[in-house]
Amino acid sequence: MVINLAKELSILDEQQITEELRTENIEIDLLISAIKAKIGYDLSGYARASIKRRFGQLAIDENVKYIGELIPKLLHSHQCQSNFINRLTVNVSALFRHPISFLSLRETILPYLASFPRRDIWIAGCATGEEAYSMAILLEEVGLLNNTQIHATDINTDVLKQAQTGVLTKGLNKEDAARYQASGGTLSLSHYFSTAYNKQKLSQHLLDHISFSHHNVLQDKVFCSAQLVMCRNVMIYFDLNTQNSALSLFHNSLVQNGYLVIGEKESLLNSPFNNVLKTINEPAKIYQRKSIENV
Amino acid sequence: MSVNNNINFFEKLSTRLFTPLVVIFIFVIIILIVYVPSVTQKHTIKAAISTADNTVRQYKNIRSYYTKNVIEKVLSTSDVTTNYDHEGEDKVIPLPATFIHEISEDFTKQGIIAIKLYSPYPFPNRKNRALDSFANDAWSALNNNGDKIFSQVDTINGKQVVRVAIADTMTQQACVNCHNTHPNTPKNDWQLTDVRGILEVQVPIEEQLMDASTLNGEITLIVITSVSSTVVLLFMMFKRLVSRRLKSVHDALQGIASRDESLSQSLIETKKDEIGQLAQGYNRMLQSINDNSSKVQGREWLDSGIAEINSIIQHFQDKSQVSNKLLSHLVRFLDGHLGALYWQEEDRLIPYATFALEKQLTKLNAIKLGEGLVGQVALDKKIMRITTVPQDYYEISSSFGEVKPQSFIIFPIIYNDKVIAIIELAWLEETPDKAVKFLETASEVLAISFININQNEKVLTMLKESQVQSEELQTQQEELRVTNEALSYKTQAIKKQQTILEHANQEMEKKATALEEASKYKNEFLANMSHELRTPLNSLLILSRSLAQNDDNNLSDDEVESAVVIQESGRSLLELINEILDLSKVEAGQMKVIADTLVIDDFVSMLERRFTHMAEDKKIIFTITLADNLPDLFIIDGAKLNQIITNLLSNALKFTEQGEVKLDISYKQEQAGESTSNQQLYFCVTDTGIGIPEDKYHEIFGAFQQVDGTTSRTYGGTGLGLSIALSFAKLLNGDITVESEVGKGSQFTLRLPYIPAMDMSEQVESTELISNNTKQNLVCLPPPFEDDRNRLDPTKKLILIVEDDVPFARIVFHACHQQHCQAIVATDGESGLVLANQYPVDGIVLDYMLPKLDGGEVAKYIRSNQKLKHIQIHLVSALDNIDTMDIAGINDKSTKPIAHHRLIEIVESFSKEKNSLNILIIENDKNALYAMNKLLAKENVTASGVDNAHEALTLLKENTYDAIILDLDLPEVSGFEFLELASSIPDLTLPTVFIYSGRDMSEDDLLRLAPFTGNVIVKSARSPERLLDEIHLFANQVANIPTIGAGILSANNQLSATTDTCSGNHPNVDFVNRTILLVDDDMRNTFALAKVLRKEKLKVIIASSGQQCLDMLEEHSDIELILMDIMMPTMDGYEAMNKIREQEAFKDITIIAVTANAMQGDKEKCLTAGANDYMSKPVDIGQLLTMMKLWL
Repeated sequence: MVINLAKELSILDEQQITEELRTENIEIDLLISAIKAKIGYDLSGYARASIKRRFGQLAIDENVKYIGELIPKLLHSHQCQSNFINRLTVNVSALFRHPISFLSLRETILPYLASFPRRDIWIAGCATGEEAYSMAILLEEVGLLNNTQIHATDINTDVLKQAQTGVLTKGLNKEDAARYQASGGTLSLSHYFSTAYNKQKLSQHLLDHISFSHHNVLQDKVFCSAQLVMCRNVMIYFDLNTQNSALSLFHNSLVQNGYLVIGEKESLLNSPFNNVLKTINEPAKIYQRKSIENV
Repeated sequence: MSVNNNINFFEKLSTRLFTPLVVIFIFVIIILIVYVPSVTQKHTIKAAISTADNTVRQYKNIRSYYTKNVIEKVLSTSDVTTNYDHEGEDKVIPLPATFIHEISEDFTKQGIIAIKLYSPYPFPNRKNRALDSFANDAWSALNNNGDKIFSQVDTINGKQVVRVAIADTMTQQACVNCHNTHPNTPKNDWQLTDVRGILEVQVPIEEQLMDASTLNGEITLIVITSVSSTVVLLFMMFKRLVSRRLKSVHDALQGIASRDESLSQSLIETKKDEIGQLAQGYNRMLQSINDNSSKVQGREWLDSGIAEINSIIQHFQDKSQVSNKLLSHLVRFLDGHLGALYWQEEDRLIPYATFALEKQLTKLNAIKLGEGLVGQVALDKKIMRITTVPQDYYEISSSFGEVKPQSFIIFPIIYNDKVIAIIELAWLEETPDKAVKFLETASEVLAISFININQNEKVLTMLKESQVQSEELQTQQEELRVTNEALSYKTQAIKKQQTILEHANQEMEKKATALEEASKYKNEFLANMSHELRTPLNSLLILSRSLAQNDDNNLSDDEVESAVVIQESGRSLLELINEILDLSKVEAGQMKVIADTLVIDDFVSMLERRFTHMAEDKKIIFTITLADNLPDLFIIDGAKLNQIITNLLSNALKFTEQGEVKLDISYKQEQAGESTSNQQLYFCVTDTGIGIPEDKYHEIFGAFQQVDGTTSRTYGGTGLGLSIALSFAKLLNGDITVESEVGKGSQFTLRLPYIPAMDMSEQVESTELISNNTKQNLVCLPPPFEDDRNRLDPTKKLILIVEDDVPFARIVFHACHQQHCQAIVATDGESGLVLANQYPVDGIVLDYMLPKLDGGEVAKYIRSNQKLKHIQIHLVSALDNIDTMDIAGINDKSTKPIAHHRLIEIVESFSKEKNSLNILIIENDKNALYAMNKLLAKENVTASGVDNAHEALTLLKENTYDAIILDLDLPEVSGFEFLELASSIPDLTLPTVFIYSGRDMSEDDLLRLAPFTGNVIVKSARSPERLLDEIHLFANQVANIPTIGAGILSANNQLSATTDTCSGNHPNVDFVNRTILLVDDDMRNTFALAKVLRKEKLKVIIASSGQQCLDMLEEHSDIELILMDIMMPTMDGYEAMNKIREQEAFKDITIIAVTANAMQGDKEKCLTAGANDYMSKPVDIGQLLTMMKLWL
């Protein structure tokens, strides 16, 4: 980033800049390989620009000048290893994000899923858990919570721990309530939370229907048959090939006629899955599996 | 502190003062102890020596007296001799020495100081008297120094003595003489003043010494005593007079320095001396210090209060925290007992903190300006002091009782004339003045601090907001970036495509232009050529003809013949040119087909006219016969037909030497009977010519070819004719076939489609047919009879009949009407396609042998058309081999002749559509059954409904169904039992089962259903839709698989590899009847896996959770192996394995963990948790079985 800034300020000349950028790219590649070899997480499928930014931030936090200097830290410090992945995959999450999706789920999709005797809902990339909580609240309001198990997974063990507690990281605010209303919420959001020590915690009854586990959508395999898979703002960081492999995983995890929900800014248009999954509601980003064969 | 001080104090001062004294004192003592004794000793020794000297002198005197007065007299007067040996001798008197000796001896015995006399020259009787070292030393010292005295201190018998040795000098001649002359004398050359011997006196000094030392001691003691008492006395006096007083001054000073209250008192001094004055001075100082310090204290107190305020503000940012801490501090600091703190926010006073109030903060209300005392203060902006609180105003309570406050103040914190906050404080006694003073002083600080807090709060809020916003922004940016990337990716792709397209376009344009040019060139060429060729030829012909005619008769026969030859050659050439041009035209696709009406009689006449003459010339019989049923006129391209027939006839005539040439024109139907056929015209040219060998049939149609190259020479002609004829025939959708026998003759048959002439008004304009290239507008010919196209009924099915056999078409048409369907008719493939595009056709009856496009091609076109590809096509054909022909795209086929009932079936099948599923519905609720029937009516489904299980079983046995929709709550026999019964019937395979039930399914229900089906639909708002979806999916699956597998749809494929590869026909002996436990919360997966394992003759017990697994283990003691899924809710696989291993009984049971996690480290995690081995999803059955074999 410094380099970019310098470029903007025309401090370095073109030649130098190109050389610097080249070197930086080499460092980034090396760090990605190091992470893959040492920890096993393959970041090569993540979008380059976002990786670059994250590495840059890591470099600042670890007090090193060059991204390359992170490599020995990674290789020789256990602390660093567990930190890196957690900090490289931090996700911001909020309750009832993109309310249109939830509204559509409430009105159209969940009534359909009511026809299943048991429901498994997989929320991939749950971060600090808000999405799983929202889903639980929604299920409760439509009366489907009892025979449903929500599987919330994430690659980042730190946020998983936080999510497991059921405690919101930020307190409830007006915007949360507004989104809840826009999602078709009938009561008030605070009804589902208990307050203590200035923090809000999801009611235990709901929390009991959510299980939190560690799962890497790029490397791990199918682990359940889900009637609904929700993965939002995860694939945004992937390059096209990785997106496709993630989509393949989600597709194969769905039962026939099961639904997939993706993020507001994500799209299937660049993917062969556009022809494989049936579009149910494009603005709400809801798609349905219609094929019997796994892809 | 004060003790230490005292000690310090004393040390310093007394040290300085008394150290010299003490030093002197010690010095004196040392002298006394060390010096005096030695001095005394010296004195004693000196005294002893002088005593000894005296003694010696005495003795010497005595000896001299004796010598002089006794010995001399005696010796000189008597015969008494002197000898040392005189004892008992009367006449012997002791020698003087002896005299001295013996007296000494006596004296010594008596303890009186005596003399010893000895010498290195002793008399014989004394020889044995050894001389000790002292004696020797004395002798050496005194031998030649007779005047000296030699002394030494010695210890004899334990007592100290001084041994004094004095030289015994012979002073009298008498002595000398005697000594020299005595008979026993040891030496006889004595001289006067020689030292004869030593006179030793041993003076005991022990006593003196002891006395001396005692004296010493006493003196020392006296001195010590006196000196020390002096010192002590001095010391005490000093202390009293000086040091104590100084000390109290010092302490007082210290007290001031250390601010010790107990010492800061005025000194009491009575004396007026220096120290007294010092004390006075101190008192004065103390007074002023006290004055100052009280001032300072006051200020300090204030400052501390304010500093505390500042520190609170610093440390706590949260408004309510600050309020609480601040209020608490203030109340305590000002010795108050109650307090409350309000902040002003938007013209209201909001309580933020209370102190010892019984009312909780949350219960206190906000106060408006002017409301109550507090509100009033806020309005007035002045402090309010209440000094007498009414009795019942309020009570302060603690555990021990209650008490009423005496006074309170309400104090506004004001800044810039705005009230920031109000503090209310109450006291049990009167409000201390300092409290008010403090508040006034602190007011500004408080105000500023409060304002700061407000600001900070605002800043914090804004910071938080901005942080959130920046996060959101980042995410948005991320999303934007992604969108951008996607967009740019797309744009790139589009650009690429564009470039490619451009290139392609350019290429195409080039090609098009080239083509255009080429064709233009070709046209021009053709035009030119034909003109160029014909023009000279024309002239040639005309002239040669005129020459041949020989009108002027001025040519010889030879010349005429030559002219004729020229003319004929010219004609041949013209023919050839025409033929070439024709051929090239046909190839260039420029040959137009013009459909006009041909009157057969005219045609025949024309032919006769043309050829009779030629035939007669050759003496060949030429006949033309027409069939009886030949219609009088029909639609054909007359010119072309003419050319073809002409060619055939001329060939026939050419190659026949004798015999006949026949032209038979007939109208044939391909087969007899009711079936339809293509209506064809047949032009059969038979000759009795040379014939064509069979293997040359094909060649003759090749351009420029005759049977062999030699024929042209014999028979003429270029050989083009037949090829042109054939291409024309093809152009007209016909064909030319040949049969021949060499030597006997040949038969050429031209077959052309018969197009009946009709009303001109119904003719559709024809456009150019560019064969071999793209088909543009298709020709749609009118139907042979009136069909339903103008009176379509949307409620009836519409069948398209593409059949050129009109009678048959009519029959099919009627059959459709019989089945309450409508139909439209086309007699050729092209029209059929047009109609299929124009009208909403539900099914097509398609003939194979069609003009222009045959049935296969029609089917191909239909299948490749997005709009039409789903339409059912039933192919009919008279062709024998239609059964074996594999024609793509058709749903079914029948061969002509078709029986009537079959026709009905065909039409029926359209209304039913092929591939309809046969479904059995078992539902006891009449309304539900009705609803379901309605639902499925629109689908490609045949549904039969029953309301009880018994009937269902009966139906199952009798019929084959593709699927069953089963309710669970049935009378008598429940859905569960039905399934169990059905599966137990031998030879009855259950079809796919869909459970459609309103019941709330429990785990047990699902488990019970698991062996039979995984498709469970719970009746709910959108369950009908789901049911349809599942049926559709099922139907698709069925359509794609040639044979419908019985039983269950495959679950999400968490199983890979086929199940057959492992054990083949023989169940694995290892596995027979061994029990394993399958733990997985995903029922579908479990069921599928269990099925596979049961095939291997394993007994499989299923558990769907960690807890259930433990329960199952307890219940079934024969479990040998556990397959444990890792990812399960509530209790995951790791935890379950741990719990299992904790139990003694299951410490060694085999556990294979199954996990979707593919990370390194996961295997280790499984093993650590207690697994024996590890399998990753998707599970490969072969691998799993091998692994199980290992462990079992």
